[in-house]
Amino acid sequence: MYSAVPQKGGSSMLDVEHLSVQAGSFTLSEINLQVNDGTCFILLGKSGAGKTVFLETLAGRYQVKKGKIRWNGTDITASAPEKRRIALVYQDYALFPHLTVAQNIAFPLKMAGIQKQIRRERTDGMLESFSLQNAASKYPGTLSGGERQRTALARALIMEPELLLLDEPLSALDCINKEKVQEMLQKVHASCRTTIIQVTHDFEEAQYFADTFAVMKNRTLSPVQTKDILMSMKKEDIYALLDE
Amino acid sequence: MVLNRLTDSNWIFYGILALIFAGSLFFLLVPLAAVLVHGFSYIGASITSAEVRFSLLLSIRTTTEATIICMIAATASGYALKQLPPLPRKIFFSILSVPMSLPHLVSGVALLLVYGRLGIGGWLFRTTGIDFIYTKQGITLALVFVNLSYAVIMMYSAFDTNQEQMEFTARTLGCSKAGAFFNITLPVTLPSLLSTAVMTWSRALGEFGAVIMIAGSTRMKTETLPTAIYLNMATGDLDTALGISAMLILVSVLCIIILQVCIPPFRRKEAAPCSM
Repeated sequence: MYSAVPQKGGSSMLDVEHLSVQAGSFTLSEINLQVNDGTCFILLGKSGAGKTVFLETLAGRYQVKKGKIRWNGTDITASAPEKRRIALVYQDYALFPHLTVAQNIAFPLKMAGIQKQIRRERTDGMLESFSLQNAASKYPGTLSGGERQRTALARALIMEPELLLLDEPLSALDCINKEKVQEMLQKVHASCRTTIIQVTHDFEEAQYFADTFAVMKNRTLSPVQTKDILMSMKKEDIYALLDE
Repeated sequence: MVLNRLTDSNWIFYGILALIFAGSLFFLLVPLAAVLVHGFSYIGASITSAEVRFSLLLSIRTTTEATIICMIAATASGYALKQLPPLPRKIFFSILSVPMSLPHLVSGVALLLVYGRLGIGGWLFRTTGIDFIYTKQGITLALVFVNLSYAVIMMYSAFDTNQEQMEFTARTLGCSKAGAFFNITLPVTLPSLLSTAVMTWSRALGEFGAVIMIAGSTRMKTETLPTAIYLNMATGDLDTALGISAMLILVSVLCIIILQVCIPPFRRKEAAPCSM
């Protein structure tokens, strides 16, 4: 599954130009962003800043009022979500409650029409990679927070998406599960080709994962900066930046 | 201490609530109990009557047909309503609620006007031979008309916003819109769908006003259980009317038992909210 060393840097994969979107009564305007292939971009911002709406727009949930989203040079602004090869993991995981853990993970393969035997093999592989073998036949309602998070991640990654969007992956977890999932995410970041955009309001999480970062505030995006700048900042500086 | 409790405003409030609750229960249950007590012994005799057996089978057939039609239309309509922007959704929701608040006799008059020989019913009869007036099809038509609004509103409420997020997640995992509806939304909504079906069936079984307007109540032709009660009361056969009434009450009780006992296990698989 995690077969290649990511090529950090290089030509940009995601290009967002002058993006404006209306989601109900919420508006994002003039979002400009470039994220390089195989890197992890951290999106910081307070609650209500529009981070989730931005991720959902990249994944195709909302119609774009103005601007473009390009993926590897191809304009995907008007593409249907199922055509984008962009996986989104919500903060509350959005697991399908009527399916077991194994069935949740196998769901994308089933939708792609992949044969049962291959589906089973790949699902078993994912269950092992994410330490979910004992939970395979359980339903989401009976899982711990960490198990739900790992199930959601496994389900998102089984089809090897080109872009993985993570909406506050650690915020809903207790300390013990947070550490386990953080390690899991680090493995995903290190071994997976997938480009990642991760939303967080946690400074330490941002420092842990970021290759580049920016701040979402006042419904628009600050200029993208490198990890070095983030590492040189103190927690108070970042929180002051979020509050400006 | 007792005197303190009697003058305590909280206990006075609880006391008033309890009195009103007990009064409501008494008001509702005593007439039902009276019918069961007087009519239970006549159920057997009623069932042996060819007329009552005909009414029973006709009621079950037309009620089931109407429920299937209502559930297909209500599921699609409730889901379609959810896709609309807020303002049109509110307008259409209000329009769809109107038939629910109509007197059922008025619904029957409306159906007569449209599906009778002077309306499109005349054209339908000339071209296809389908006739709704004083026929079994008319009964099904009346049951659908009277219950469809209720079913649409129930199914609309069942498609709540949590499912939108799950549906969108399914789409990011390669599902089309239709695929997300059939693979995610429908299965997750199954308990509500079953509850709505049971309640719609129960309501349809007891329909009288609209049925009698469009289909009449011809013995051994368009006589359903509710119209059979009316006919037997009108001709002075109280025993048979009581027997049929007791039967209908028992069916209603059975529907409630199904709602409370058989459907909740379908909900158990649903995820608890992740509130950590």
